[in-house]
Amino acid sequence: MLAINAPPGQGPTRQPFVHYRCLCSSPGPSTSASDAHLTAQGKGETEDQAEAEPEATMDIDSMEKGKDKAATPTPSSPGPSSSSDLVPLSTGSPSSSSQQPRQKSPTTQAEIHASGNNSDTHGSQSLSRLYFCDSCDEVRCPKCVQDEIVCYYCPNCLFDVPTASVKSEKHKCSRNCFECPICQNTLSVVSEDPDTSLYAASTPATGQYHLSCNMCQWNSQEIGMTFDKPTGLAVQLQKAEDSLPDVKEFDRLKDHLEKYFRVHSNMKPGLPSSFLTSIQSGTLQSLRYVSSANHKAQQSDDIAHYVPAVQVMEDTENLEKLMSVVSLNETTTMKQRLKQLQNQTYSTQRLQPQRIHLRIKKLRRCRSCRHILVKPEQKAQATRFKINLTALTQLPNITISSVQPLIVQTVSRAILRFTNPRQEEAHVSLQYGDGALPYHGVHIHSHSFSISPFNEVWEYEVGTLTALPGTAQEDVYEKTANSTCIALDITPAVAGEVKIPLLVTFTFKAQKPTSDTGSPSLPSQLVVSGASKDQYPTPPPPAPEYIDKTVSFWTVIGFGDAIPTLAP
Amino acid sequence: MALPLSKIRDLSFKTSIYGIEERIVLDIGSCYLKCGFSGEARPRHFLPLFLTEEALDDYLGLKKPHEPHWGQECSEICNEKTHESCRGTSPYEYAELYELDMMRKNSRGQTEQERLQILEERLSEYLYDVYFKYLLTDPKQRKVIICESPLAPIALKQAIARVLFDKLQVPSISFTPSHLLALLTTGTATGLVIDCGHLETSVLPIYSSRPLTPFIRTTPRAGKFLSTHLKQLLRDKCPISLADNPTDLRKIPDGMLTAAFLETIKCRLLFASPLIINARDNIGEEEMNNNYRDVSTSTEVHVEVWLEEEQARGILAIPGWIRERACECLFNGDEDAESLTDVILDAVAKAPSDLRRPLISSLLLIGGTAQLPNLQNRLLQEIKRSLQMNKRWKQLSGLAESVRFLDDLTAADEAAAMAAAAAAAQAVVQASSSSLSLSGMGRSTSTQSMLDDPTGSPSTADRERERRRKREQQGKKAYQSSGKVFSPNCRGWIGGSLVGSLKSSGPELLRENFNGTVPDWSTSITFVGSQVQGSMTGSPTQQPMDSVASSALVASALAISY
Repeated sequence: MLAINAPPGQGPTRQPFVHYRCLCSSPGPSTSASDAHLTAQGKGETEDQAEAEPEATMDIDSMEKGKDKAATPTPSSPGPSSSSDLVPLSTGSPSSSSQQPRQKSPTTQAEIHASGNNSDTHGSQSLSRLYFCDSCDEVRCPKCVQDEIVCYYCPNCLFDVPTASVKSEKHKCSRNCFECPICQNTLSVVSEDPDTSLYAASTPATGQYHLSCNMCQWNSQEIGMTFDKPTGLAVQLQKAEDSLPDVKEFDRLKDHLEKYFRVHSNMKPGLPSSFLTSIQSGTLQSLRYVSSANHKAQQSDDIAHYVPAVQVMEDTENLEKLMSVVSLNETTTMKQRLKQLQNQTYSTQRLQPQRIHLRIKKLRRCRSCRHILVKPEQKAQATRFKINLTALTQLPNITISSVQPLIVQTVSRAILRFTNPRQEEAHVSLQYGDGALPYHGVHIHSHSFSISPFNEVWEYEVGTLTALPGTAQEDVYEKTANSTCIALDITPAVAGEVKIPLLVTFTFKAQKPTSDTGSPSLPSQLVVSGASKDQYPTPPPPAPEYIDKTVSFWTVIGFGDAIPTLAP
Repeated sequence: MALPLSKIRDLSFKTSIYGIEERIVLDIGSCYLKCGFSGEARPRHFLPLFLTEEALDDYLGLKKPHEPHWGQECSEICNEKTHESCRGTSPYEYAELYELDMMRKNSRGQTEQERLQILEERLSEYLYDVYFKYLLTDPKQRKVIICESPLAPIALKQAIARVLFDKLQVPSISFTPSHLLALLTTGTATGLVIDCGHLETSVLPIYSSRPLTPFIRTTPRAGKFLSTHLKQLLRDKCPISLADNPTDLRKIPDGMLTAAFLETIKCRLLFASPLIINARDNIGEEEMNNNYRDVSTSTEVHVEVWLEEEQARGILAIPGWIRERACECLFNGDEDAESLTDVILDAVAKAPSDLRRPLISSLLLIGGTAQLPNLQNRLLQEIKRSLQMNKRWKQLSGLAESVRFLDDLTAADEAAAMAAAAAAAQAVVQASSSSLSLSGMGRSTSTQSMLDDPTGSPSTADRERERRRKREQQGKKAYQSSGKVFSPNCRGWIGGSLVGSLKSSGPELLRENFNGTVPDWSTSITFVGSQVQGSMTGSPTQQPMDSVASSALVASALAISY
């Protein structure tokens, strides 16, 4: 992308950007329609997913039957029962049916049109963050997807942690991965070679290994932490953490309060076992102690005498140290302290190395149809996706190829490049949204054009032009391998950032759902994802039928700052 | 004997291999979010909400601020508008999750609706992170316990419930009062809990595990107030010298004292001075500061800063007296914002007279600002001093010896011995003080009527006193506190974890039943009020009332006394 330098004294330069809008977070009052639409879906979800799901499918199916019988011989949903909660895409009916409402019902189209017709970047994101649900035919942003955990792994050693042990290990790596308490970098286990080390004489053979930070030179010997062998350090650390006084005290309290809760619940059989249920109305009951009617109950109300498991003195040393501190570096920062929840110490001498926190791989589903949008491979080392419906592989990628400096009330030209990631030729039509504020004059030179399909061959023949710039094929500016450039004339109305909304209607050939060809279990998603990654899995499924799918979405394109007219 | 029992308990509480039964405990404050699993002795994570982690990490303006990424690439569901509108333009200013005036336009001109929308968006970001980045657990599987402050805006509770139910689809939520939860971590259920947080300090008496919410007292003297005060002190009293030329003194530029800067100073250098200096009424602030300076024994700390204008390094010298006296502002009250001491004593004075001694002898200080070293000891001294010196609290002066914090170890023996000596005398003093304190307005009749209510014949009252004395004596023998085993800013959460592990949190709000409203003590009161006065409407999420509680007798007693 091209950076434009703002004139001095005008604040930070606005970078050009292209954002795609997801319907779920369209701002403004005009969104009430789509909001209602979404909340309806949301309610369906909250009721009972297992039930609501087939219902919705049925609904659409029947609707579809009524409206266009000829177009799609609806497979009459080969059993909504088979659309299990987990993989509802098996029927193929959702994908066949869901494209219909968009095309046939003008309300939806209008809804889309109304939903994003402004230049507010709120709720719009760059393409790389979005997904495209091919059964709803809608753009999905991270807010309208739902996540599930696929696997746990340590980001440092890339070990796959089995789900069973994750909880007991407190979601931290139980091998040899530690982070520095000072700078949070990864620590390495260092052996102290008796021959070369300066400290050889003073260190007994029993604490031969220690942790050391290559970043800030922190060393676990500073806090007297050494290990006999270089493995299994995490277990030792965790053990030490679990035997701290607060854990003991907590267990004692649990015993103590359990007795109390039990006695209390026996006293008043009419109430639910939880004594806290009465808290909501507690202010009244709190005065019961004066009424003798409850005198008996009250005696057991009081919590029994408690004997603590440990007694911890206050840190008076802490205060003295703090009084004589001379440099800021002698006390811990808040960030360091919050990683040391066992004591939240002020003193840097008492910071402990922490085990590295695990991470997860996530699977994402579309919130409204529950289809999987992305599904990574289970292995931590693998970076491939089993299902990959990221918008980058599904929707045309718009980039700003070049833009002339924008000056208020002066026409300047911008070139937009549309790249087709799909294997099929696609058609794009554009419309400038008139709801932009401020309203800049925009003239689109080619409202409707086609983009050649993506072909791996293109990647080796960079710069091959199918049409030279300026030659009027389809009235586009330039047509290269799988991308097409078009020209825009922009006349900024006022100085400041120029953002324009652009409605993109994208028509592509998609495989017709194959439910009637005898392989209903083949999810259309998988085929698409395979296609996006490599070539078609050879040979392609037997004579795939193609139908035209049309998807509309709003984009917000920012061209950077417009400078005010120079001449007064 | 205890061993086999605890073994059994261990078995019954050891959960299945995946630990689905353990609940998620969330303590959502305006600045920090504490999250973790029930049954664990400390929260798993302590997340700053009000400043970015980068800003919080030792921000002194030395490092170049990172340019925010263009577009919205900065975090998983980061939202530019949300951040811009809640933070203004500077990433180093406070952006609390919520404020106490949520229902009004704020200074940035955002309407209530916009603020709530921002709140919800931020909440959904944070809670998403809590589940998928920090706790790494499936939200659909675990019930949630929320530690709520009784004065948190209902809109906040509703937003939390909406996000948890609609976005994350948790099966159920229970809201439990954080003051009570914190108190449970001391093993007792009676006490005066002082929550000294960021936005305000609230003092809530709890008797026998029942929060006396109508007697709650609050003051804005808390963390944010301290920051403002510190800012003023630094600006007025601390010149910056250039690193190259130490004699070249200049004022602190305005842009430097950002919230992140102040927060750094506050949590790394401040503490409460162990010395009380008596402030006379007619003393000026300037003179007082001089006094502070004269008696200070703490060291001056030099902090290196970056001067944007000069493009040079400067050295900010923070004198010891500012470090130890900045938090004086919490103890000096005025009409608008009462001091900590005054709200505490006010809460005690407002409480029914026979609760005063149990309450004041079991104080518990929790909250983030309470992390300031020595703040609690200082507060203890201030309370004692106020009881003895301040005319306003003359009626309570008999309680001076029994002032005690639940988690003080050293005070335990002292207080016990004192109490033993004065046991008999106290009873008298208290009886007289109770009637003394009731000399104003309609309250006298109310409490009077509580003391000798229809059933409460003199004999009952006597028995009551007798019993209390007995208990006191028991307590004297062996009340042991566990000391500072838990840090004050975690106590609320730990209580939630305790209650969650015993599977006895408050009423659960199930996802199926969620209709946008949440249970709240204030709506419950309204409900009772409607029973008595027959004018107000009850909330739909009303808990089934205890028959005793709704009896006209007690309700009317409350209605009068409140």
